[in-house]
Amino acid sequence: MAEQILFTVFGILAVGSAICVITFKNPIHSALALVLTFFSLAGLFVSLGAYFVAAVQVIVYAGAIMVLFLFVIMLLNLGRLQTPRQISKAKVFAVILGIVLAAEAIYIGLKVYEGTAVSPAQRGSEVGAVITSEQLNQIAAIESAYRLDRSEINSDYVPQITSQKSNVDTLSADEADRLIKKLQGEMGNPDRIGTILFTKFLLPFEVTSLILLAALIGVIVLVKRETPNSAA
Amino acid sequence: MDLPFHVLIISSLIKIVVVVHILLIGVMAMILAERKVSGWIQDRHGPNRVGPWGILQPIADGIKFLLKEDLVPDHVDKPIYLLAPAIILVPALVTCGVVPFGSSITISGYEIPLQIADINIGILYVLAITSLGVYGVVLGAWASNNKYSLLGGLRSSAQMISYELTLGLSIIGVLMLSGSLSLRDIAIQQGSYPWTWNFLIHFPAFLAFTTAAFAETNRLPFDLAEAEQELVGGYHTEYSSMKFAMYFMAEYMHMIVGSAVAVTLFLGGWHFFGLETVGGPFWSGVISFGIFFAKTAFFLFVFIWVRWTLPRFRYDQLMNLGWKFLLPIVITTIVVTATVWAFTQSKVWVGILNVVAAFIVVAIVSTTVVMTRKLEPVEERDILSFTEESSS
Repeated sequence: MAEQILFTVFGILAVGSAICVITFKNPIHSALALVLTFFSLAGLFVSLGAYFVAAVQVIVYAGAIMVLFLFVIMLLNLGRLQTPRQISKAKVFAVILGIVLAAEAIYIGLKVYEGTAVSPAQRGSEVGAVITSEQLNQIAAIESAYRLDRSEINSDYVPQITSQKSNVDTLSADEADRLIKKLQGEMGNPDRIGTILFTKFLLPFEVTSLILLAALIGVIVLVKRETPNSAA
Repeated sequence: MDLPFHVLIISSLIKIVVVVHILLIGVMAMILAERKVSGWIQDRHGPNRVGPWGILQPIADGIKFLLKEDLVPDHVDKPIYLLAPAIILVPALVTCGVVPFGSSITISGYEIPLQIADINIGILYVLAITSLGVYGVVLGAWASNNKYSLLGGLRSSAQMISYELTLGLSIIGVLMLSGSLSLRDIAIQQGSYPWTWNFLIHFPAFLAFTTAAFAETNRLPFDLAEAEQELVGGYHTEYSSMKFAMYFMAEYMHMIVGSAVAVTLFLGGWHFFGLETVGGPFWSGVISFGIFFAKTAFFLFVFIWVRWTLPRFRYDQLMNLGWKFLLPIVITTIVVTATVWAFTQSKVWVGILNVVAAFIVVAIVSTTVVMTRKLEPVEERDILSFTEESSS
């Protein structure tokens, strides 16, 4: 319940401030609305149990990148933007792409909604019954994403949920829900993220850091002026 | 240690109210302390008219701020102008939610930790929130629509971005050895005795953290954002009455929270020679809070002490110090800490080699800076000549 309220609040904030970003005339106001968007995205991450991603979202985007944005806007002293009257080709293209994207989002949303709309009724009838196959799938998804072992879950997490049982397969639907929530919370932990970043996703991680390094070197090369003094 | 839901809610509410009021009263105490200590340092009395020993001076100041006319100049960007003082105050208040200000206190059978929220990403949360503090300064400066304000805001944003790197990186060594991001875990792992605290193991990082904390709070010697002689008042030139007071309070609150975080990370939190375990489950909690309070107060005294001892840096000196000295030092200490810990697992060696590495970095950097100074006569007075002058 609390999660749904948080999701609604931050979701509305994110969408509303994102609309503000493109409708405000003053670039500084737009940049501020973008900060609010990032902030509400961080809130959404928190409601998903991804605390680490939420903190990094605020540190990197709201705290660093947007400050630089503001800095540049202030230095350039941009005034109010004059919106051109005529409709450009890029705008037409953007509208078509936007409609396609929105259609996709609505389609997926409806599909997910259908899935969840059925399951609460099922769950209602199955209180105290054994774990559903859907929940098992969720646990399996967490397992594969975070390189966990079923035995590890059985020995570490199931006893924390219920003192009597020691196996995922014997949990009731309610207990399985709590287990999934706990796993999702624990998996958002920095140590878990660190572990899978340096094992399962090592190659993408290193590639990303190389790209960033290339960007850094590029900036230095572009900015550096050739003067007789700086050669030494 | 799971508390029942109603106990959790009630105790959290009480803790929030108490912590916020300690912060507010702390700001008042800091204002008095700042003026008294500056008086002692300059061999004069300081405020002594309002109340005995001038103790009611902050209240008189507060009443003055409240009763002054609240001007909103015509040329400002109104929504942001009004929002900016709140934006700078909120991060300072929100950060203290994760700082552990004592061990735990047992009241009628419930063991209540003296911390509002022990979240497992504690220190990341602190970094995230403090990185938002710059918005209050930058937005206030821009919204004032005033050249002096804007210059102050630009200086401050450049300064805070530069020193935020040092602030974040100086913590990495501590995190590596403690293996946790939770501030409570970090405080507990440091143990009871000063020689096991983190400031000895990570001494260069501790100094870098402290320096960066000064820069982040815009305190002298890093107060270029509000340099009176050059910028009238800097980013708060156009603010009057209570809005100015909010900037003023925010500066002191950032100092208090920064000191509390520094105490938690480097100075052992609420530990002191085992004193925090004396007494029963109730009194040990009270004593641990007292120890934490005393340490934070000492750190705050250092803030004031430095302010009235060192003159303001020039802008290039500020950037040199941040980018050419502090940043290489903290990056080196990260590498040294990781390497030494991987090979020896000994905190003593980590501590010694960290200091040695920091000396080597300073030696290398200062020789290269001296060489560039010979080539470019324009930059005659850099950071080195400055430190030589101040020490002589």
